[in-house]
Amino acid sequence: MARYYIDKYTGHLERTDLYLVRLVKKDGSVIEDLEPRKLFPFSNSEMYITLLDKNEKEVGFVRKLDEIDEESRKVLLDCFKEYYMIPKISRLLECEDKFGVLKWTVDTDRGEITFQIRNRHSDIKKLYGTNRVIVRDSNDNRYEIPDVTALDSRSNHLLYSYL
Amino acid sequence: MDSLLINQKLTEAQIQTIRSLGSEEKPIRFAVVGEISNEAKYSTCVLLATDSEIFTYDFGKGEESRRYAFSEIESIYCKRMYGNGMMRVKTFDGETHDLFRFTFTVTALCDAAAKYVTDIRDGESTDEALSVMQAVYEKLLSVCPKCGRTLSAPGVPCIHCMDKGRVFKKLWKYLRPEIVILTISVLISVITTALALVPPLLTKTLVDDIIPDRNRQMLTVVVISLVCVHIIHYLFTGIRGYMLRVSGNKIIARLRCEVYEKAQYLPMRFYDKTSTGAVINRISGDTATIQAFMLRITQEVVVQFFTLIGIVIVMLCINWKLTLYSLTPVPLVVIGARIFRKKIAPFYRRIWRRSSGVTSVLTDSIPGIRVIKSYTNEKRSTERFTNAVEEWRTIDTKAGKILNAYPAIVNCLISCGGVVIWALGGNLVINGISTGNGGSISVGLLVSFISYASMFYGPVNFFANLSDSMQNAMASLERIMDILDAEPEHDFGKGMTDVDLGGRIEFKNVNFSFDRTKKTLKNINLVIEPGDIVGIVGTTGSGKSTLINLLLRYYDHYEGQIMIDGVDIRDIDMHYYRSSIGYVQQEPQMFHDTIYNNIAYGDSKFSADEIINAADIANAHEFIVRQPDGYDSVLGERGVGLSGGEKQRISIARAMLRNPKILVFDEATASVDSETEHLIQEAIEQLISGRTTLMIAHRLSTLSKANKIVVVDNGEIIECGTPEELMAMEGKYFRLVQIQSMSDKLAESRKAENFA
Repeated sequence: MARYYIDKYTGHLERTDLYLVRLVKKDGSVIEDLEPRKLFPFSNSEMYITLLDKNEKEVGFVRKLDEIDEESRKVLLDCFKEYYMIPKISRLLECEDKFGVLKWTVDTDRGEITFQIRNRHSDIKKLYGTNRVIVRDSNDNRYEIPDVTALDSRSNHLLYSYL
Repeated sequence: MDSLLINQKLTEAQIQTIRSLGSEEKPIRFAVVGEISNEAKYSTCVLLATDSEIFTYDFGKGEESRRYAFSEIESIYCKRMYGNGMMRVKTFDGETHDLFRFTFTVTALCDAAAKYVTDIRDGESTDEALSVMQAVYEKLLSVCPKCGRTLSAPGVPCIHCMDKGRVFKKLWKYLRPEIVILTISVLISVITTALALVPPLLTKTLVDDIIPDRNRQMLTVVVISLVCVHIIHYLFTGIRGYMLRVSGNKIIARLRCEVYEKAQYLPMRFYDKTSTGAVINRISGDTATIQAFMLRITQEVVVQFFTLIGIVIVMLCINWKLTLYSLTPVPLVVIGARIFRKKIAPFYRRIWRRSSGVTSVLTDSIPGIRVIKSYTNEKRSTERFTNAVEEWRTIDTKAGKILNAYPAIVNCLISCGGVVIWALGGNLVINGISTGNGGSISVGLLVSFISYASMFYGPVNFFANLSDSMQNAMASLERIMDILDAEPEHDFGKGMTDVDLGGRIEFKNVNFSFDRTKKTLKNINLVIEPGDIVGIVGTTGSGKSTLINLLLRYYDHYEGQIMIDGVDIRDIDMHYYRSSIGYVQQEPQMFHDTIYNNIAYGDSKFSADEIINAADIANAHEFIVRQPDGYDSVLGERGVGLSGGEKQRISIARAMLRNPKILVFDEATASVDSETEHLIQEAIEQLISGRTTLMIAHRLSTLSKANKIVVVDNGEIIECGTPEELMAMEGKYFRLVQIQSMSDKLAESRKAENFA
C-alpha cells in the first residue's frame, strides 16, 4: 500500500487518549487509536512523524508539522509531550566516578535527578557535527544536552573528560 | 511488622508515611519508588499496593491518588513510551485512568505490579503473587540493600558489607603458600632500606672530616665501603624483585585457574545473568588487579613505611631542627602531586577516548573494505578517518600543555624545596662558622640532609595514592567473589551411575521459569519411549530449546519431574548423565585444535580407527581427506576454515563417537544449503538408528523420520502425536506443513525457471 501522507487537505487529527489520536481522512473515513511517533526523535524532531495502529503498522505519515492544520499540529505536540521524555540537562551538579560506574547528578528542565551511566564510551554521545550530546543511563532513560557550549564552566569541566 | 518490598532507600519518615497508608489488616505489600510525577517532572512518587488495592503517593505534593480496588479493575497495563511509561487502569465502568508515570528505571517493577494485581484479581494466592514480585525486586538489585552503595555489577555481594574476615580469608588462601618467600622478601627490603640510608651518612664524613683532613687512607676505606653498600643494595633489590615475581606469578596463576575452574562448573543460570565478555574480563583482568594489590599491601606498604620511619629517625637523630626545616616543602609537594593527578586524569581519559575513536574507525572500515569499494565510498571513509585522527590530534595537543606543565611544576617544587634547605641550612652553617661554634651544623651534614629529604618524597606519595589503587582492587575483588561464591552445579561425583539412559523418558508436570517472573514452560507432560524419534516444532521463543535445556540439565530449578527409566534425572551423576547424551547444536562450536582433537574432544580413550569411523558415518571423512594435513589440520589456521555444513558434520561425528543413548539435535540443519542438508540428514539418519532422539526443527522436511511430533507454543505442548495423527487433526502442525510445502513448491518452481 502506498504511504498515506497527511497534510492540511488530506487528513485531520483528533486526540482521543493520552498518546492516541484519531485520523479523519479526506474521504471522511476514520481510523481510531493511532500512535504518533517521531521518526527522528533526536536529530530532527519536527519532521517525519508516523502514525501507527495497534499492530504497529504505519497508516499515516506527516512529513512536516507545518504542513498540517493548526489543530492537528497541536494534537500531535500534546501527544508528544506525554509520550516523549528526554529531559534537557542544563547543568551538571555532581559527577562521581567510582568502582567503574559513573554517577551523575544533573539539573534538567524537569528538575534534579541522579542517574548512573554504565558504559561511558557508548552512552555519552556527541551527535556528529553538532554541539548536542545524548546521554543514556543504565536503565535506558535518555537525556540530552542541547548545546554543550552553552553549559556553565563547572558543568563543562565535569563533562570534559567524557566527551 | 510486615516486610515491605522497596526498590530504593528512602528516609525513615518516608517509610513511615508509606506504612501509615496501609492498615493493620491491609498492610502495604510493596512500594515502587519512581522518579517522576504524573506531570513528568522529577519528584519522588511511589506506587503502593496492598492485598486488594493499588494507588500512588506523591511525596512532592504530599498527595495520595485514588485507590483502585482490584475488583473494580478490568485491566491494568504499563504503556511503555519514550523515556517514560504510564501504568494505566481500565475500570469496569469503561474508563481508563492514568495511575502512575514512571521512568525506565522501574519498568520491570511496574510490569510485575500490573501482573500482581491481575493475578490476585484472578484468584491466585497473595503469597504466590508476592513471591513473584519479590523475585523481580531481587533481580533489580544493583545497589547494596544494606549500605546503598552502587555495586560493580547487579547482584554481586557488596564488598563493603561483606564480613571483612571472610574477604581476608579468601585472599589469605592465595597468600599463604607464598608466605615464606613474601616474608623473606620483606626482610630483604628492610635490609635494603637500611642500606639505602647509609650512603648519605658516609657522604657526611667524606665532606666534613676526610676531605678537609686530606685523609687518603680513610677516603679509600669510605669509597670502598660505599661501593660495597651499593653492590649489596642492588644485589638484594634484584633478588627480591625476582622472588616477588615468582611468587606473584604463582598467586595470579592459582587465582586465575581457580576462578576459571569455578566458572566451568557454574550453572547456566549464572551465564544468563552475566555476559560471557564480563566473565572473561574477570578471569583475565580482575585477577591481575587483585594480585598487584596483594603484593602492594604485603610488600610495598611495609617497605615504604620502613623507609619513611627510617629516614625520619636518622634525620632526627642528627639534627631535629634541620629535619623540621627540610620537611616543610613535603606537604606542598604531596598536595601538588595529588592535585596534578586529579587534573590530568580527565585529559588522559579524553585522549584515550579519541585514540580509541581512531581505532574504532579502523576496525569498522578495514574489515569492511569490500563494501567500501563496491559503493565507491573510499573518499568518505578517508574523511571519517582523517576527522577522527584530527580530533585526537587537537585534544592531544591541547592536553600537551598541561601534561608537560604540571610535572615541571611539581619537580620544580621539589627542587626548590632542596634550595630552601640549602638556604636555611647554609645560613646555619655560615653562622656556625662565623661564631666559631662548629658544633651546630657542618657542610657534610647539610649535604646528607638534602639527600635524605629527596628520598622522603617516594614513600609519602605512595601513601597518598594508596586509596585509589585500593578502590580498584575492591571493585575487582567484588566481581571475583561473585564467581568464587556462586553455587556450582553440584552433581558431579555423586548420584547414580547405574541407570539405563536408553530407557523411557518422561516429563511429569514440568513448570519452568528462568527468573520466577515469567513461566517459560507450563505444565509439560510428555512420554518418550525408547527408540522414539521425536520432532519438536514451534515458533521462535515458544520454549522448544528450553525443553531441551531441561533435559540436558542446564537448569535444575524446575517444578515437576523429568524421569528416565523411572529415575529422576536430578538423582543421576552429572558426568555419567551428560556423557550419555549426544548434543548437536545449530551453530557447532569448533575449538582451535586439530580436526582429530575436535572430534575426540578431550577424550583419549578413542582410537584413531574409531574416530575415522565416526567421521565416516557423519559424512565428514570425505572432506577431511581433501585437507592437505588430513586429520591433523588445525582449524582456524592458515586458511583451514570449514564451512557451516562441514563443521556441523564434525560435530555430528563428535556426538557419534560417544555412542550416546540419547541424541538431541537443536536445529542442526538450519543454517546450511539444501545439498549439505541432505548430507547432514544422511549422517543423522545413520546416527539415530536405535537411539532415542529429540530433534528441534524449523524445516519440517528434516523430521521425515520422526514417529512422534510435539508442537510447543507459548511454553505449552499444544499438540502431540504421530505425524499422521496431527495431520488428521488439521491443527497447528497441519498449517505449518501446508505453509512450508507451499513455499517449497515456490522455491522449486523458481529453481526450474532459472535452469530452464
